[in-house]
Amino acid sequence: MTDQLLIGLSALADPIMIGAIVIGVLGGILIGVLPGLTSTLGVALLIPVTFSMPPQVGLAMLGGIYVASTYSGAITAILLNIPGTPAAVATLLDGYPMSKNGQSTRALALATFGSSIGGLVSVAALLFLGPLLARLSLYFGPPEYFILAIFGITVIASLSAGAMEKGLIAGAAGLLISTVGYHPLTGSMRFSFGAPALFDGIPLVAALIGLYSIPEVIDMIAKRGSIKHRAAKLEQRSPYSYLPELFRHKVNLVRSSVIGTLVGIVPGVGSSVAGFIAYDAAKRSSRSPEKFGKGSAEGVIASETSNSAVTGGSLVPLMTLGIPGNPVTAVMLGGLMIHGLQPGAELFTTNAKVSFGFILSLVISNLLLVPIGLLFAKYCVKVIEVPSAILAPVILLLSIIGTYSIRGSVDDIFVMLALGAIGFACKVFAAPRAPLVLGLVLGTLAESELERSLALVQGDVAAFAWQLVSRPISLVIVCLCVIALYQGIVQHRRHSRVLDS
Amino acid sequence: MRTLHRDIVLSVLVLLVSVTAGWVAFHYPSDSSWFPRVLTVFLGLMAMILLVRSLKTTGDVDIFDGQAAQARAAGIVFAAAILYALSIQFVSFEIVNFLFLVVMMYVLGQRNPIVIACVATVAMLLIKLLFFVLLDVSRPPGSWF
Repeated sequence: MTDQLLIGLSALADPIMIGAIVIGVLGGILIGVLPGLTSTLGVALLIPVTFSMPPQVGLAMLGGIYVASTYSGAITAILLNIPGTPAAVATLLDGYPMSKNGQSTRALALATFGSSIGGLVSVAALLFLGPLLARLSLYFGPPEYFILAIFGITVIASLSAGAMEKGLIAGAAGLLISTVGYHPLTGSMRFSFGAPALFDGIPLVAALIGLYSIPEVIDMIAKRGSIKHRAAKLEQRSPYSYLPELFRHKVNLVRSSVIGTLVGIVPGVGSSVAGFIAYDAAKRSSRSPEKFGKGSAEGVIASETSNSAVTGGSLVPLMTLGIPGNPVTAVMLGGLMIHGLQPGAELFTTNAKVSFGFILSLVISNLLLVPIGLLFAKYCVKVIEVPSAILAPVILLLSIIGTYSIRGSVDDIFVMLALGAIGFACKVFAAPRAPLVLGLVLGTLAESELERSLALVQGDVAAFAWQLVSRPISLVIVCLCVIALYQGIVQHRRHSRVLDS
Repeated sequence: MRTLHRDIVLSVLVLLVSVTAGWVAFHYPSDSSWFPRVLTVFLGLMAMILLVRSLKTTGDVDIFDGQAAQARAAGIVFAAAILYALSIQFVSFEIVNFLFLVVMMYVLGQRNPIVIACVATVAMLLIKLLFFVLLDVSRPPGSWF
């Protein structure tokens, strides 16, 4: 472990790596403050840029975007009462009232410090849990990998908002799209209809950009206009003078960091839920719960610490088992794959420079959040006023060029647009996109492991099913799939009852 | 229930897709199409469950409200992107990028010519610098200008 940490540190010594992290954090802050632009879109748009970089540098930049965009939604939540990202919804409950009370610098400072600490705790969890869990993957055979991929899709599909059937349809559609092109073992061609651009399957980056950027650009154009809000004025006091106040809330910090990390590790839950759970826990244990909702610093600290702690937590199942916990990590899995990296034990041993360099880069990202976030907070309020008539064409152009840049193929642009149409359809029909992305990303793994498993039992489906329930690890994962489906049904019934009432 | 009609339309569409994809998949050799066959059957089943559940649901049926603006926006985005992709095969990348940004900004309501010219020029130069100078991506084949 010490050796691997040193290898990771050596990767960080590269000035290009530090530059990549700074650019990632800056870009992430920008994306987070612009309502409608999500961390997922930011990571998807940046993947083409990182394609020609060394893997650890590219991943560090993606990590910077993820960490910073999760945090920076709080800036607009506090100053403008607009959550830049869904993760910051719980933050505005007390952040904006604090601003209205003339404490915007205090709210911003506490949110920033809290985010940084939450992120650092979750990175520590990733650093110590990651290699341990990755070793577990050595006991995985083809049936376990197959059922693990199905579990990842099932859990996200069943816990997605709205009807569970739609989540499962999206997951299955993603898997079906992933079968386009050559069969992974026999080499037979499927669903390509003679188009050479589809022979190698749907290009992953084009698909990710299409699914996440096109629907957002359409939405931006449909709800045209800039946001004109009067931002709360920042008081003259230095934000760093609030640091001692933060440490008076040690219990809140620790509790919120643990909640965020644990919520991040569980696939399908997400940062906004973590924020609300920590907010609720802080309110219950507060000596002055009546202040919550009226400008309580405890509320801001709890929400921000917790939602930022999700970042490291969600990377634990991603890097160890290849199971993304949310849409951003699903897109990051695509980022790992285009660099030829596979999650699991090998990532932490053979590719220690990449994995540990990446994990340690997250430490730097979380530290850089403080100076960069506090410095740019007041300017970010101006960025939000950029009209969508300017922003939408630039994002669309970046999506097109980014798609083209991966293989230098104009055909990929059309593939990206086709996937964009599917993503738009998902929005129109209120179907979740995350299971679709996950199906697309994990489809090849699921199919090739299924075929290998079947080959081991000479194609006997009954024997394969027996394998799934007779091998301890696969049996555990099958049980988890059943629990996820049951949870989805319970959640759906609760949701229906709420609608009916 | 706002989502009633929307779910019916979705389930019918998915059913059509699953039947079509299934028909294609069942014509491939079985050793290469086991997975897509299972998936199309699963998709069809899920679509039928969604359809039955949507038909059973009672209540108001006002659906697709506010979707006209979305449809218009989608039309603009797809038309612009397709035109762009076709153009860069013939016209120089710099010209296409500049024109794309100018036309899109104008169509979306930006009327200040100085803002349009400045944004289009700066964005075009930054994209050129990032992708074609720093990242050394091969240029699109446009050769007319």
